Amino acid sequence: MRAVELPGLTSVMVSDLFPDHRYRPVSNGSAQELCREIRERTVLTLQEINLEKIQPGDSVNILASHHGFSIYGGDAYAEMIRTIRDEVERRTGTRDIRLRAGVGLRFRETEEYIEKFDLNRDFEGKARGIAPVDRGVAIDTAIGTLYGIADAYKARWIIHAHNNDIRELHYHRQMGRLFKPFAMSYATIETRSSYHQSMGPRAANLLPRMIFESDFIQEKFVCSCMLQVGPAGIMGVNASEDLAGQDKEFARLNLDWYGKIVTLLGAIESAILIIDYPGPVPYTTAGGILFGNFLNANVDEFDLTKPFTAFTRYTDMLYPDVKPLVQGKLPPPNPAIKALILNYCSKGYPSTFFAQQLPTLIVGAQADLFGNDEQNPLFMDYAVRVESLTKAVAFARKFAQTENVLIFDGAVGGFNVSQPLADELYRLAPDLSRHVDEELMPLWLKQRGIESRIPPL
Amino acid sequence: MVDRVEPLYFGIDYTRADPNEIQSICRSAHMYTEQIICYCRRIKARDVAAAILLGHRTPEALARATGVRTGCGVLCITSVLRQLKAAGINVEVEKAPGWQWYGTYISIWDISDEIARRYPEYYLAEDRAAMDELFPKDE
Repeated sequence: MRAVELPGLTSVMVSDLFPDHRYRPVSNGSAQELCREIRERTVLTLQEINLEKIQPGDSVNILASHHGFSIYGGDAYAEMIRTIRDEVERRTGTRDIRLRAGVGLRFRETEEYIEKFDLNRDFEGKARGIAPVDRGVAIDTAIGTLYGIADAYKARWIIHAHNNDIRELHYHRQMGRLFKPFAMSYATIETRSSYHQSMGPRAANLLPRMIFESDFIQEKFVCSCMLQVGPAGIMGVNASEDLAGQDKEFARLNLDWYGKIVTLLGAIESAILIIDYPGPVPYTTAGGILFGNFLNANVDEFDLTKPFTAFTRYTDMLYPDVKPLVQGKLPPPNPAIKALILNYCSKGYPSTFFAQQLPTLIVGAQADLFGNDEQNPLFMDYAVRVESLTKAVAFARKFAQTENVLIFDGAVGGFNVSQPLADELYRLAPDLSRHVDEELMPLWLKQRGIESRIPPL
Repeated sequence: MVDRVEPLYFGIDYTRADPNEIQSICRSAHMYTEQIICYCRRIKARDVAAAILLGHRTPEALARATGVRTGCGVLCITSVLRQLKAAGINVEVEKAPGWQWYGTYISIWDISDEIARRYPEYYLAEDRAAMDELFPKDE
């Protein structure tokens, strides 16, 4: 049973919650129509990029990351990548164009996406996944040697094909968001572990910047090409030769596109959360927002003066069990989450923290999946198996004492929720919108050295 | 997946090692003895420190002894390297078979004041202070 089939649900659209949200997705049509739109926009934006340094016969690696293929079905990201390839060939004459697609903690994930989107056909057999345990290449940076994945950089030129999705706001904090793959999906285990364990929750974002600014990368870098995404859907494509400038502009856009909806979710006082999406627990999504964003929504993650959010790998370290090792310094996971129901999600992301901290029910075969997950061998020590989604929701209602239900099921442009929660969101949205406009947005912009926000309607 | 004929057990009895030496390694690595360093297996710092003291002196040996790095194999490598370094073991010399690790990492405690001044947008000095407040200091 899919969560959306539960009785008593309705949908709320982000554009209805915030009618002054001016940005509309590029297409509300079919996947084919979306791909046509993305192709046109990719060609258009690449016209601003100087490709003259790429000579016929030069090798070019288009670097991609797994997350892009999970955004709104993945068709837009795949089409952007295909179009980059086609444009590079058309304008430069080179045909040695490869796709190197990085992953998170599921090492074969992009191989599956490459097959799903038939990218090896488009890349003439030169599309490959790359994993953090692959051979590394030493990169001398201003702070010392860090390692990238050798196969990512084994070309004369690289093009960084990524997206601005808010995703792990608890990690990137909207600082250097567009640089992140250089220390993550294009990097080996030590670089990634340095980011998550040894740097600090904000400072970690220095690492991808340092790698990007290295001579090694700068000698190869042609441009970045970003799939622009927002809560309402795919917003466009933007290419640039100036990643730092592009990152700052996307920070401005993301604060505008995501600031209000993230803050609104943080105002919810109680909810039963249902996860029903083909992704790892914190990356399950709805309305462009992740469960991981909601888990941390009791802290203003855009406010850079707050060092720790409820969940990062730094805080996860300090919970050997249900209680933290240190008292009074860590915000708890969002106390609005009165129950977490896993109806469907992927394995392959260490998630025991969530089951330790949240009353977690896991439905049927999903419990078997997690029981066999090498990254979650202790998850079922803390979660309770329930045989059906209906029973899980009925049981959760008893102890959660709320009729608010919020589902992370990949819904585009909005959320599937219970009627009481819909009513609450509509009630909260207007005042909260003003609060963001008048108080929070100026703070967020100032902290990032951004002069002005996107003008409201 | 196919079940093993015989189950394979990970885990070490940390009480077999000197508790003061466990504490010393952990503190030098800016860790509490009871903190989690392997999120998948929920292995604690004291388990890895004890295993080092009991003679397991490479990341692979520590994995076999404690189960650390046998889940995702990615996120906890620098904690393992930090503890080996704290125990005086030069891991840069011992390279893993294959290409899994190279013995190098960067920590907040390695970042210079000059870099912190040059990149204020990453709150480097502030995170150094926050990490020093939250995690044990190497004294």
